[in-house]
Amino acid sequence: MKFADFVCREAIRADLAADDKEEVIREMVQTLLDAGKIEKDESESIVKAILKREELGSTGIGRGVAVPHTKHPSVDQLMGTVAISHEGVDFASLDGEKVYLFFLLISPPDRPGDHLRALENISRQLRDDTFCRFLKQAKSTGEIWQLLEEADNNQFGSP
Amino acid sequence: MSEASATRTVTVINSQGLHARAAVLLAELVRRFQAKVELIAKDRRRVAPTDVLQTLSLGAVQGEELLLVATGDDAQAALDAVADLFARKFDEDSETQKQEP
Repeated sequence: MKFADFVCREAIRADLAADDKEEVIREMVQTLLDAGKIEKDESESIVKAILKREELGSTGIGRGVAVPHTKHPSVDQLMGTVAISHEGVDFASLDGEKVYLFFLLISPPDRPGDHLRALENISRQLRDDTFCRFLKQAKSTGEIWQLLEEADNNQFGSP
Repeated sequence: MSEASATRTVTVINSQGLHARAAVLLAELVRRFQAKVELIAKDRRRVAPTDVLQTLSLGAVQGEELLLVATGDDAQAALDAVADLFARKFDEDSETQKQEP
């Protein structure tokens, strides 16, 4: 699976305003709402579901990366968005470090395979330090999209 | 002098596969041991399970077999514990059942 298969380009944000976990999740869900990817009636329920998942254990998986996510019956295909915080956010990460890169995923309840493939792609690409560093430094949504496209074309790291 | 080492094959049996929370539990468990543990997929990709990002990069779905290799004094104990975590389905089913003894 490639970034282009699940990342909603219109929902990408290069500079999150939020400075805590809940606000990051709210801001990112709002970007998907603004992009017309989710229903307005469902957005609060999606935010709550993602926060509930965070209570089970932070999705801050180390190296300044977090993958907040949930299954939700209101979506019929996997969708996600990417956001960057240049200041970093305390996300109760596994390694105790601040998080700069956020990949938010919402998947249909019956598709665990797609969710795993997306996580696999994100984590495989982020293992490449160059990609990770460029992404953290990206200043515009266009720049982020270009980096994702380059990653999709295997211009970073190993396949 | 050679170090103690152990190998074990485990199967991902939980329906959600080796997803984020499972990978975090695995990392936390492996870090409790001194032994160096490696997780090796069928396609020979080797990762350090102490790094969640590396484990997730395997994208291991339900039914996938993984080889564990450990070296160090408590290698055997580490692999016993890891195999138990996989066998317990990362405690995912017990959460929904909530059965009292």
